[in-house]
Amino acid sequence: MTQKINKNKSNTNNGKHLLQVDDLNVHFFTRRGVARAVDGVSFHVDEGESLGIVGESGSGKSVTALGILRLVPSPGEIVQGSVRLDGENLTEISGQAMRKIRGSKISMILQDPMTSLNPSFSIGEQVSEAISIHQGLKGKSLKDRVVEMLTKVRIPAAESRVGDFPHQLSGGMRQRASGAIGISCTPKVLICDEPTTALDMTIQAQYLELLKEVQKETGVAFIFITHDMGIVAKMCDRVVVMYAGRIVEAGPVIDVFRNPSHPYTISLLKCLPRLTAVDRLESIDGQPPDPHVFPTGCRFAPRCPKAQKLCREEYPKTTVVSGDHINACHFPGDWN
Amino acid sequence: MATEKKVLLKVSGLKKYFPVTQGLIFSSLLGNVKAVDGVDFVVHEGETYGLVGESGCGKTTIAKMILLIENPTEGTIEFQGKDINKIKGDDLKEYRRLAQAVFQDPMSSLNPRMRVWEIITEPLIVTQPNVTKQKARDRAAELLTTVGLIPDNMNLYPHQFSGGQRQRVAIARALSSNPKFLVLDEPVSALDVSIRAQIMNLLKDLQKEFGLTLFIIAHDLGTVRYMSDNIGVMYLGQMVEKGTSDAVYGNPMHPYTQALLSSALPFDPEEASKQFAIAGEIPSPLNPPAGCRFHTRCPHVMDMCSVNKPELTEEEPDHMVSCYLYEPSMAGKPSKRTVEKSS
Repeated sequence: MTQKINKNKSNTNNGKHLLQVDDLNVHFFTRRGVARAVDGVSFHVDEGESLGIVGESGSGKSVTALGILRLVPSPGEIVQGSVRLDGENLTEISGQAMRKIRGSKISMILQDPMTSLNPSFSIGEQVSEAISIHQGLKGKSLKDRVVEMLTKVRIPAAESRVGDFPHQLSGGMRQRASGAIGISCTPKVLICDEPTTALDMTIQAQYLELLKEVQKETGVAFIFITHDMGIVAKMCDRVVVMYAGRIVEAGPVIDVFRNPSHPYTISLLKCLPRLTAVDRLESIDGQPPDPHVFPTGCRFAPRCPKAQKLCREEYPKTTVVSGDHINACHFPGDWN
Repeated sequence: MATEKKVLLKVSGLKKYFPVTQGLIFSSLLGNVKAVDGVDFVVHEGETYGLVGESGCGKTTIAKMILLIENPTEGTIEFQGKDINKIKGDDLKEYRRLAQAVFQDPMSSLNPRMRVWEIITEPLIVTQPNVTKQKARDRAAELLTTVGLIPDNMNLYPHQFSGGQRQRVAIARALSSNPKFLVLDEPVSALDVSIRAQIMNLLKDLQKEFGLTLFIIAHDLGTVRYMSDNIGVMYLGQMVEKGTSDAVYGNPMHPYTQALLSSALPFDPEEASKQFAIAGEIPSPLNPPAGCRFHTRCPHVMDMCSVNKPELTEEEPDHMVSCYLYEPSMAGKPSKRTVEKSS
């Protein structure tokens, strides 16, 4: 039950990637049985690159992110696979060593800053926490560093806002503050889990611009976990489309969005309302499967308009569409 | 084209201020949050009217006033020619039957302790107290079929359904009293992307089948575009632009609408990189800027923008904008062309 997707020889990095996830399996052992939330997922991210992981709720995109950080909550467990950062296998190191990596080499920006920030500590204290733990700074040098980070995320008059509490800031400023925590130790990988869903449209645009600038300055690699195709189109170089715990299609954003080859990606792109007039949107019938009882065969088959007998019996192998563009469908090609 | 149609809902000069006070016993008035500050629009029978805007622009407050959950501070809402805040007795009951609502999150808008058929028929029982249980159940079965659910499931509880199915139950409940007018407050934003199109198509089909008039509120511009015939764009309690959705989306004139449309991310990677962001944040509605409320963030701001509020004027047929950029007396100032180019 594995999907090998990054076997592309044409890659310039000689197979060495900044972050390499191989055959990651995260299962939840619940009373109802085993939920295979992430089921054989492989991908990689290089320095200064942005990867988008798109999918609906329950597709396993957030659990994948938690799996990278080894923060999968009980009763979930990483049952198989490896996560390599600079060649070091994060699934094998001790808990203590992992704690040194979280927040310093890999950090995360969460969806809603109102819940991810602690309401009873000032933003200065919260930004300084990671810096003092990982870099051992104290006193004035610590404070200077905090102000520098807040300035980096364009919080105006950062010096005077260090003592502000989260409720004193607007939504956009709050998310900037949690961005400052994310980049405070100059991580190599920054995972953004739905970073802008809690923000207003015009503020979202500002925030995405800011993240791009931060990436240019620091060369950090981004992993965007989102359901918003627009964010992927704007921010990412490559995209991974997940459905029911598996990767159904992956590749450079421009290839996947312009020439989607998996029926799920095709229907997903078609069912989104756009700013131009359409008479009727195409919709995907049915709903995503229950992770406790995934269908045998292709997991999208019950909703797929073109499903054949083979699709219901056997999970498709991953095939190369062109270059880095890969797909897991028995009948890849032009479904339009 | 909409001019010959019958007016169903007419909102004029609508204002809603929420007083902000300090102190518990000898409280003093600090000011008013001007949630809605002078809004006019008309909804025609059989059409869909969409309101767009960011959080705090007052769109939900307007929906609440239409549903009689809040009372307006000033202004009137007329439904079929009658002021809904003045009607009493049977007329009021009739209005409550005719105007129904579907809310954002079906998990919180459906009572978790009621069975689905009880939820669906509750409006029916309120409006027709002597309906028998069997009749109510028959009606529930009929409505579940209408919204694409299996009638056998009517004895289940809301948590036994998925998000999309729950929203279908909420729609069935809204339909049970044979309404004419549905108020939809963010009807799809809590749903998964692949489910949204299903629900939007269902609403469109129901509109055709029952001749409904829809009033939809959403922050997602694509959703509003897909659903609506006419659109109003709100910013800080005021309408900055309104017109047919073709006019507003095809030729956005107000700088705020332009910014809003530009911040909606297209799905094409090349177009997405052309997007621009406007600076600044939404000012507090407690102390909104004088003059045009958008002038603090507007890329085309002029001296007069901070003095007087520009009136909504018709710039094209069925397209009204409240912006000084389009006043004839402003010749020599930034023209329409430059505004379009910069976007």
